[in-house]
Amino acid sequence: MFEITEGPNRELILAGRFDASQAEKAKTVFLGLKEGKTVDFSRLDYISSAGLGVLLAAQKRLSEKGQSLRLINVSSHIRDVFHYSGFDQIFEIA
Amino acid sequence: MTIEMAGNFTREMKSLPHVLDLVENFFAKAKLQKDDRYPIELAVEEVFTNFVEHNSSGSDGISIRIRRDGGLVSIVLTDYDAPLFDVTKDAPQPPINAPLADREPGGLGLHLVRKMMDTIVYKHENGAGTVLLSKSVG
Repeated sequence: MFEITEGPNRELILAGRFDASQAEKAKTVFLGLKEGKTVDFSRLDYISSAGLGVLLAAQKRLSEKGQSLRLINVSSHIRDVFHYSGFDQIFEIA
Repeated sequence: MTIEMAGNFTREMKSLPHVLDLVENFFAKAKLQKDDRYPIELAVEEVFTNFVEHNSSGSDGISIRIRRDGGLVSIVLTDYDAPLFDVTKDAPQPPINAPLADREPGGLGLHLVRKMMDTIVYKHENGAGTVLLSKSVG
């Protein structure tokens, strides 16, 4: 299961497993963003390289407008994946 | 105590949920701690998707065997119709220290597998490619 919902402060809340089988669904949301967003990872159990690719594509697109994604409540496992990928240098992780 | 599970899968991304079901069932049966699960799950997904993406028109399936012997989990993924592609050295190193403008999506999967597994061995024999992974667990 993987879900993307909007929270009370217009943040995006990811829940479940963001794997290769979910990447297309996530792309339609992330690549449609018109402005920077906070993305809440507190309910996200898992992300693979396919999910990382979607986040990177969105970050690149937003950066052209001077905007960005800000990631919050990132678990230690997912922080490790971000670190190994160099994503801790290109995303603000609060 | 040895716990082993195995499955055969068709060569398509639609098989991925079934692959991950096998992994989840193994975790439960082998009583793997939550902290030990992530790298194993990720490695299986990344190698499986690599097999599919590098030879999507291949004819034969992909098998996965996953086993726990005490404190060691070993995983064997075999692609029965695989071009030679040594996952330990043929995938380019992604530019992880490059600025955002120079990064492009893709190319991280096998890099993460190399980072998160203890050992990774590749074999190519009689048209079949096999990746053997191992990871110590608590």
